[in-house]
Amino acid sequence: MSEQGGTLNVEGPRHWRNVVVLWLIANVIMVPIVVFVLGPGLPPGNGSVEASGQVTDNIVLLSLATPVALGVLVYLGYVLWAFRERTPEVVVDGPPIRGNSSVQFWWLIVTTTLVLFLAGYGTVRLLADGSGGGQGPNPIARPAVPAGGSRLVVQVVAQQWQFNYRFPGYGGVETNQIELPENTLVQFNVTSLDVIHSFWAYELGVKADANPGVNNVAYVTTKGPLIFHVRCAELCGVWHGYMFNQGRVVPKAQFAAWIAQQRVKFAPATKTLPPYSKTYFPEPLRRGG
Amino acid sequence: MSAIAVSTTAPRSGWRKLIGFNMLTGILLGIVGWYVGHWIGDRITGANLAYFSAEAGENDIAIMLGYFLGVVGFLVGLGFANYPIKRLLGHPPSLAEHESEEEGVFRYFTLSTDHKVVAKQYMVGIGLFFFVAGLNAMLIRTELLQPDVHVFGANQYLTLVGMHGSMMMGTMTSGLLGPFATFLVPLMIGSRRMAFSRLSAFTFWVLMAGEVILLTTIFFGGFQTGWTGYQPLGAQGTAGYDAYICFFALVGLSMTLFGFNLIVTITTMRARGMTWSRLPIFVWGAYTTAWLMMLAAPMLIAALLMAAMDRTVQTAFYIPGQGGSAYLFQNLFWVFGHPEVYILALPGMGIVLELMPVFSRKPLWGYRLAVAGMLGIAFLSWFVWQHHLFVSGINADLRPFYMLSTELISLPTGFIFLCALGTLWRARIRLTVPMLFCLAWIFNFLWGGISGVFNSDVPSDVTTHGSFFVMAHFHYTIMGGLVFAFFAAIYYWVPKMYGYNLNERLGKIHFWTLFIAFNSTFAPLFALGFMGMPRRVVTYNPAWQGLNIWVSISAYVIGLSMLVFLFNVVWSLLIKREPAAINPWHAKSIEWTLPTPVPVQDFDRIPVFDADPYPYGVEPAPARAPTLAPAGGSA
Amino acid sequence: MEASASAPVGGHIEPEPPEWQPRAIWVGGRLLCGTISFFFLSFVFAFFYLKALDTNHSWKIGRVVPDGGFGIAIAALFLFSAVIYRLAARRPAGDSMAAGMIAVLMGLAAIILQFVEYIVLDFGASQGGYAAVFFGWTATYAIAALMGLYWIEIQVASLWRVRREGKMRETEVPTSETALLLAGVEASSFYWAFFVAIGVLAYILLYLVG
Repeated sequence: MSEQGGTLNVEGPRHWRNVVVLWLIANVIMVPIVVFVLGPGLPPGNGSVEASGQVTDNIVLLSLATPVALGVLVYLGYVLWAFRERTPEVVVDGPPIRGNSSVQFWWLIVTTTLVLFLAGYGTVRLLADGSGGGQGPNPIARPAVPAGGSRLVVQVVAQQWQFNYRFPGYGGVETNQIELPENTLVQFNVTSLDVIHSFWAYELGVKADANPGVNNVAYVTTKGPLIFHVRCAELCGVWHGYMFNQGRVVPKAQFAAWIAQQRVKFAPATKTLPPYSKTYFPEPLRRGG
Repeated sequence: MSAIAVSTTAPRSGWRKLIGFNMLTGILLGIVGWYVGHWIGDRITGANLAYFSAEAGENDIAIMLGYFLGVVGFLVGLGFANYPIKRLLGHPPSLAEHESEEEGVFRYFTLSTDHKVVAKQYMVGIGLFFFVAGLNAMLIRTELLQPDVHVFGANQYLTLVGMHGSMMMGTMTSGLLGPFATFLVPLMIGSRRMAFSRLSAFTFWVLMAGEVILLTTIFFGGFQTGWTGYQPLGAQGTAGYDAYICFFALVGLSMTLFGFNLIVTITTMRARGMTWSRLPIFVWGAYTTAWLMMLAAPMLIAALLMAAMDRTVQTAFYIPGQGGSAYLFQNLFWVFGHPEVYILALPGMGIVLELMPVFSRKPLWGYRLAVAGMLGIAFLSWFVWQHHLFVSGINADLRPFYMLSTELISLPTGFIFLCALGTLWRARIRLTVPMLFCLAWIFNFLWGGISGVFNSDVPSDVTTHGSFFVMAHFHYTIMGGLVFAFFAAIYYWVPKMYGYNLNERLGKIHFWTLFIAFNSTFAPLFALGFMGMPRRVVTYNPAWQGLNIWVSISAYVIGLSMLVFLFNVVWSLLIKREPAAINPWHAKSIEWTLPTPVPVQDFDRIPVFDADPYPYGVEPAPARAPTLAPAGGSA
Repeated sequence: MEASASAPVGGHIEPEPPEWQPRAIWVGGRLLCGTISFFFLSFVFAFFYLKALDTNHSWKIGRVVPDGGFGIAIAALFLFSAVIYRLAARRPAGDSMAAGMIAVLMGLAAIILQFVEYIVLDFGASQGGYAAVFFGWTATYAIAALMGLYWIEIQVASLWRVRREGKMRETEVPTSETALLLAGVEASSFYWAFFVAIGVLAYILLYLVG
């Protein structure tokens, strides 16, 4: 029976110590990089209060994921170096270790704690302001109106293959571009006229599915001026990839001017539109396709 | 009395062999069935415009009936109706069917009740459609090389995307269990067969029929929904969506019955001494997967039947204006869909944990914990499905619950990891090709799992849902996990199943090329998703083109690595044919004590088990192959 | 594992234990109950979900009322069929063959009645969510019932043949044919009873609650 240098003669605890030390060193290097270098650049950026919340959430997730990933990787690297069979011509068995209840116990405790913490933290963050996600017709996480700000309701009407935006507070005018005032709590009422789409305003950190016959409410609290990209995030047919446009967050005065101009521009169309409603169904009821 | 009969009639030769119940007859009767069904469908609907799809004047009822009768004809032609008709007339039940001694390639094109033949049929069938779906992926990546130059039309592209996803999901749900569980579960529990041998053959041929039907979607305008088939887009779509419905319904049928067969086999046919606590971990993987297959697939079939009714008889399950709900489909689909992805993951875990002891030369570390992990995953997988719907407008009160349940499922998954890692501790690691794939599994699934935790966190999911981040997540778990385990199993068990060695150097080239190219392809997708690129799009922000080109080229390299694998298969199994030793890996599980090729009766004596399945580390001496009959089968 | 698995060449091939086949059938019958419940669970879910949502006030469009007489007749036929067959199967002296034949005939009658009801009904499949669930559930139930009735029929046919031939015939498997037949009868009767219970639930939801 051949021996594998000195490593196999050595007790397990020495290897264990090596792994832990290597892991700690790796963490000392990587965790600060993750938190301070990568962290601030994490999506979706700080374009809105909810987006910033998501960034913080991602930083927390990444900070906890880093030691876990490093643990597995460092361990894997170490065992592949330390315990590799160096004389493969002979088939020799290793020690018949079938388990270690202490290791299993602590693994269970640590992973459970981690998971419960993440679930709890995620819930707290979610319930604080809704994180920009669509909450259905009865939202439970409504952010507060920002100091010195106001609120605005915008209905996002998705159809194959464009988004339209309807402003109930401004005569129900429907436009195909979107501008939002800064420092405002915006309530998006997202719905669809045909199939499932998804209203994804990336820099605002907003995503809400547009489900036909459903009013899906999402909140965003805008900050300063911004250009944001709206893309459809749910496959909705052949031109799904082309269903996007750009929006802007602008100062309040500019927004007021813009919306007034839109009302004039779309006045003839507004007259023919059905009255503002949370959902729209085709009338008369008939099947297409 | 023996259950094995020796064929007493003289074997037929040449073209006469083709007359009778076999795949050719099946194809012929299938084509007849298609035309009959289509004709009946046309008669039923007449000129009623409501049933006609805009494409090619096609009639959904005619197409569905055509597919249905086509499949029936196919199965009748293979001979599946023979036993049921005999039973209808009072023939006694016979679960243990004759397995004839017929040699040769022809038996792979027939209804065979020999589980080893069915396993090899699965191997080739799965392999074939895996490569077709992979080819689709190459085409998808070709389209994405440039955001504003289009290689394919928008509908063609979406159909490619849908076919890639559907074919991969439908094929790989049976991808590991089909070839390997069918071959090995009976052997590992000491049985000569699956509980219902004919059913085993049925699940294979039904799956093949479904795959062919999926391919026909291109003749009917393709489908635009991707593999998830969302409504009401599906109801609106071209007639190619009917092919999607029929394909998935047949896949579901195959899955349900396969799971059923596995559970009955493992429950009732364990030989003496094979207690639940001695089952090899691969069998536990098959067992837990089987429960999910058996119970989740019927819900998919029901959801698809409802979609079919919406498209044909104009019901309104999923049409909101008419009283239906798009959410209904989403919920029904994902109640199936989430267990489905664990159906994909669990067999891979079973294989990795089964193989690692062999190449670590140590017992599986934490056997009971691993079993608990698999059971935990199977159980919890039923309670997480709404995490696919976090931003879709579901009841907001439910989201914290689903966030918790989804996070919790990482716990039993962690057990599997711990057992794999523990097996490596103070081992004597042998870096054979199967072991390389197992180690890569650990690496890949790590990233898949961690990204899953990101997705399960609702605030984080708001940005990543529906983006390439999710794509990266599931490709890391399904491809990085399952497909790597698939190759580990192939390199490991081919010497026993086929009797020839696969070339080791080519295997290592395949592995390293695949591993590097795989990570190179999918790691950037995390970034693309984080930057805002949605899924299933045919154009994108030009700023991301560089990254997309990198990904596409890496994907081509994946394709190249597969060519290396194919070359290895053809070279080793068809040309060089170097006979394999009976136990080339010096493994200590029962299948390696049998001669190669495994005789038709598997065991001459039904085994009696009296030791735990991983007796490594007990004897320091190398394992001896038992003295047995020479390769070539025994009478 | 130290398994004594392979005998020398030309040795006797040991037959398989005879008890696994009836056991497999017993387990299989129970598992099929699980499979079929999950299938119809989808329709139960659809029923409650669409009813609760009542999208566009279209749970029922126009007058949508099923025919109560047909409903109860169909449900009763299935119920009697299941009860008769299950009781006979459980009693050692029970005449499973006759009970099975009656069960099959009653089941077929119920299925025929169901299709007659479709013709007689004064609402169509497009009239809302309820109509969709009604047609979808009853139609799939009828088709699944045909498969269950097939299972019962083959028991009846086998029992008839065994009775006609008088004695146990040597088959290719080393097991008591009677044991296997009885297992088939027991499993099919259990499954059929379970299946009919699902049908009763369908009746309650579709005709009484809906």
